[in-house]
Amino acid sequence: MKHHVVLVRSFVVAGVLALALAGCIEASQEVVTYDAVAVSRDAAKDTSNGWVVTLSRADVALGPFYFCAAASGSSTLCASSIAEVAGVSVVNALAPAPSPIGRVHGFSGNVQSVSYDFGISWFDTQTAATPAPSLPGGHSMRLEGEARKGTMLIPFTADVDVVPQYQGQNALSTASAIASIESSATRLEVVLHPAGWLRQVDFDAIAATGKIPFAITPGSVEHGAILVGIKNLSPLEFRWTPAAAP
Amino acid sequence: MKRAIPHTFGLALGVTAALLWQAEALAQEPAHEHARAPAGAPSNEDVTPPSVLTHVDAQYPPSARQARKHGDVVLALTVDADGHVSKVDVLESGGADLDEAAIVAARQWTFVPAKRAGKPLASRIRVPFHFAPPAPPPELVAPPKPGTEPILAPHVVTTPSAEPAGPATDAAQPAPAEVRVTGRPNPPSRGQSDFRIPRTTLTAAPHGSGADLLATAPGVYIAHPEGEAIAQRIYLRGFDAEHGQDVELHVAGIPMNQPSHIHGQGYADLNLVIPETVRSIRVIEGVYDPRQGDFAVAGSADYDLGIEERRSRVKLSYGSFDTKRMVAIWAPEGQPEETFGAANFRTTDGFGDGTRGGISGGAVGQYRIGLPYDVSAILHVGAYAARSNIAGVVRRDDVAAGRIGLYDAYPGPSARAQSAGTSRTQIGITIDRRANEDGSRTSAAMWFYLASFRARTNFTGYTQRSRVQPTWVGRGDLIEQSNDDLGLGGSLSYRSGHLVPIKPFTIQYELGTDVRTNRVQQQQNLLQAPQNETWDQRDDADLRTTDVGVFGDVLVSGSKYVKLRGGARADLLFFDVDDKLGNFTPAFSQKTHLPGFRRTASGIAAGPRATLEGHPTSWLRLSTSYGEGYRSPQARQLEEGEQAPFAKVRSYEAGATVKQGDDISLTAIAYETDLSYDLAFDPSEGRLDRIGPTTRRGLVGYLLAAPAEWMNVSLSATYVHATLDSPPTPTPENPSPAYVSGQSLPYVPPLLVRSDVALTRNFGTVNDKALTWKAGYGTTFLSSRPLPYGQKSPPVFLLDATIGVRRDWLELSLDAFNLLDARYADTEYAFVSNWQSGAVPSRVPARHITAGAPRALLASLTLYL
Repeated sequence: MKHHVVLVRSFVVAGVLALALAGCIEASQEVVTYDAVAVSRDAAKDTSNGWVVTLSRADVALGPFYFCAAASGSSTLCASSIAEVAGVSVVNALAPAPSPIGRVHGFSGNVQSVSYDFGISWFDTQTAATPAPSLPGGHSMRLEGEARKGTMLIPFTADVDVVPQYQGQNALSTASAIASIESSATRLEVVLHPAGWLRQVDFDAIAATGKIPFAITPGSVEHGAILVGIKNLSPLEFRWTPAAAP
Repeated sequence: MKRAIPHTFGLALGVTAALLWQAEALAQEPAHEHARAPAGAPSNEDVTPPSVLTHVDAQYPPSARQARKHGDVVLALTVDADGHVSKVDVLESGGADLDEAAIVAARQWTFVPAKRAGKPLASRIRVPFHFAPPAPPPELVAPPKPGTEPILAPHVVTTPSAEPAGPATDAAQPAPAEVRVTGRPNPPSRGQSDFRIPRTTLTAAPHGSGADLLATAPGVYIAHPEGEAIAQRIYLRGFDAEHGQDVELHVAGIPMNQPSHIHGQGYADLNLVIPETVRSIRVIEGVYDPRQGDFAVAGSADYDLGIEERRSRVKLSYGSFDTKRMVAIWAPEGQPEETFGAANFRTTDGFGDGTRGGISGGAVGQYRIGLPYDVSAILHVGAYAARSNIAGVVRRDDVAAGRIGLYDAYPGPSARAQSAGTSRTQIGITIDRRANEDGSRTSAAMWFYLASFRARTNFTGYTQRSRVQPTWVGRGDLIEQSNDDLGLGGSLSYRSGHLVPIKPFTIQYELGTDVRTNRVQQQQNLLQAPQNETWDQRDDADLRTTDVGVFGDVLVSGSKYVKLRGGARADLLFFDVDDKLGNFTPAFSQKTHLPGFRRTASGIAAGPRATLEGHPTSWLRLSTSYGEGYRSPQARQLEEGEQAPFAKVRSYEAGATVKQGDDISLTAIAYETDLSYDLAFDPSEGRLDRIGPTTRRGLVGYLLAAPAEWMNVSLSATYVHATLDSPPTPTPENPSPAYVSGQSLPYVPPLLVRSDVALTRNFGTVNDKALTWKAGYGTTFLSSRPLPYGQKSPPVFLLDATIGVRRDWLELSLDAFNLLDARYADTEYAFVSNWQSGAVPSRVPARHITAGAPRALLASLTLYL
């Protein structure tokens, strides 16, 4: 019977080893979650065509954000994101301090692109673009301020809707966002420059209308100019910084 | 690192060989007396020999254990006209104790009596018993060795061509006919990972389906993520074999794997098997037998059907979730175990919120016929049909947030429209001719099956976009798959007698071929619930596949201490694909052609398999094995003229078994399996995709014990380190693939522990009839399973138990499944989904689960007729 004893002991040792090894499954990709904040840069002022634009209010809806490991973050090319902020936040884009916009959930790894909305989304299951309930006046953003050129002063308001073009697409279907995320000890900063969004607005033309204060509404030429500013001239910037020590 | 493994294995091979050589040097081969049957023996041409109905293995006598006695006993049995043994004579003695053991066993055998002109008559037969203390494979009844054949009495008949014999009861009639039988020998062992799971173990714990019986084998876990109308999911020793892609499955000799099935390569639905009709399961983990063919990647399992207790019965069950089950079994006395009929019907509402209801039923029948010329045939007919609703997956984050219950289904119409319907009918005949004099055997089999499959499943919610009309999106990812398969095949093999080219070596060889051809029609569409309108087409193909396999197998025996079994197998596969949606023109392109892509491809897979086995001592069996196998490709994925790529697998193992009589055996195995490309479940398409080569290295411990006559214990622990070696690299279409090189293989539990304990005891009487109590349980422990994207599932511990009592013709039993009511995930996935459970859909892969069943009770009443 001695050989049985030896074998049983061997089994016990092997079992203990196997249990220990079974607890050591390596994780090739880590689940990460960290804060995302909106940071304003030169938020209130911008100059274009001799006009100095100064904002006094900039309530902006941000999100959701989908980060992709590929160079194109378009939802049709990047059905699987590596990280996301799956929510919509309204921030005061003129606030000097960072404004929290939620948590980033995802995996460690490389990020190359992002697609996102400004609170108005057209998800796969929706028949039309739909604003999130919390939007300022039901719009993506509400901007107020003035444009000054010499002695001319144009107070203005702008209700901006940044609407996705197609069902299942984001309003900004793909933009560059480069990072290598290794752990949750990081923070996402979404950098806004709202005054820059009005860079394409033809304030000379507005001045010619004589309408003061001037209201920019969706569908107008000026609204289209703001969309160009949002999407092309002064798009959001994404940067990852080490998380602030608690 | 990879190159070191063959070296390590080679070292193990060398050590084993050295041990065997040493044992050989110490051993003394007993001399054999050669004797020949005299010529001119009379013959009885019209006598049909008796065939064994029930046989009882002889028990190795305790008195012989001390001396580790080997021996052969040859008995002459007189079988009377009603099939009972009326007289036993010792023709060749192996010693008093061995003779006695053989006589005790033989007196319990029953036969279909010999017949002349259709009338039963008494006969005299010769039965050899071989006794060996280590008894590596339990071949207590083995073909006689060459050179040990006893001299036959001049009056006996040794072949069916002999003269007819008269009834033994009439002294004036000629002497009884003598025929040789050997009962039902087990197939030769193929290393330590060749497990034969006996009915004692199979019935220790309750099992809900025939597939669940496989869980009693070491390293096997069975899941049912898609209800009872879709095949089980099998995990075997580091393989996520899905619905059968990596396990070659046979039921009563008929292959169950369906090539190029739309739901998964090698799809094999074992729901056809009625658990009460399974006599044993042979599970080979690894590829070491030349008979193992397509899909034997992780291994193979062969269901042996038979009803041991020859009484017909009806079993009625009722239990949780309004589950009703009825089983009727016809097993008349006087017929062999393989002859039976069984029917099974089941309905259930299923657990959860009413989305798991199902109806299923089937029948299996077999008939064994004794034919002249030592030929016997088994006819097999089986049919099964089922329809069930499917609850589908739920997201773990939704469950954790209370947005949905673990056992519920999502409320949308696309989730609620999930269902499956399936049917399969199969017919087979196996013909066997066994010439007992030299151990040679000829077998032939033919079979065909017709199987239909239609499933509507939705794993991802609302994420798909139509390829036909790209603006169609968000209509629900309800994938409809249909697969109609007609399979036809057969096999032919010849095993030689024991040849003695050079003393002391004996050789036995086997040559065989098996062929199969399939005609498959399959489609995959996206449906919009609740009207199930088709809103996208993904696949529409007609497939024709043919597999011609040949194998050769040789057993070289130097002595009783060492054996080498090995051979090779080659398969030619041919594919003809009519892909009706091939060359699809995207909606944004100008049409320049009509869709459709017809193509043919073929390929040959060949590889050796070998096992070196030795018994250096009476209590120790060592072996080392190597084998190469393959899995055929999905026909639809082949290109025109492509040399069909096969998933090639290489299996290595070395192991030892320590055995103390029949009371206890302990087996330890170290193994490695390398697979050239693996497949994993793609939820967006509801089928399998390639994930590159994989490697598995592991250890197995297996204990079988019978500490008391009334107790049987089976305990196994399987550890595996399974890794992805070179997964697909990121592409524009899939920029963040779920897998990276070197990561643990998803879904596979690194540690799997299984125990089955059966207790059977007579206790008490009612009206002078003994009460037989039965109790048993089975436990399963799965360690944390790795998932794609670096996630892990929690460990799982399950306990199933049964208790019952029987008095003569009445039996009551209560089965409990998941007795501890563990809330667990039967299967777990990680992928992107949109179930509209939040305001903003997530696009990050999330963990999804199919809930394992909660505690369920099933009470049964069995009436024996």
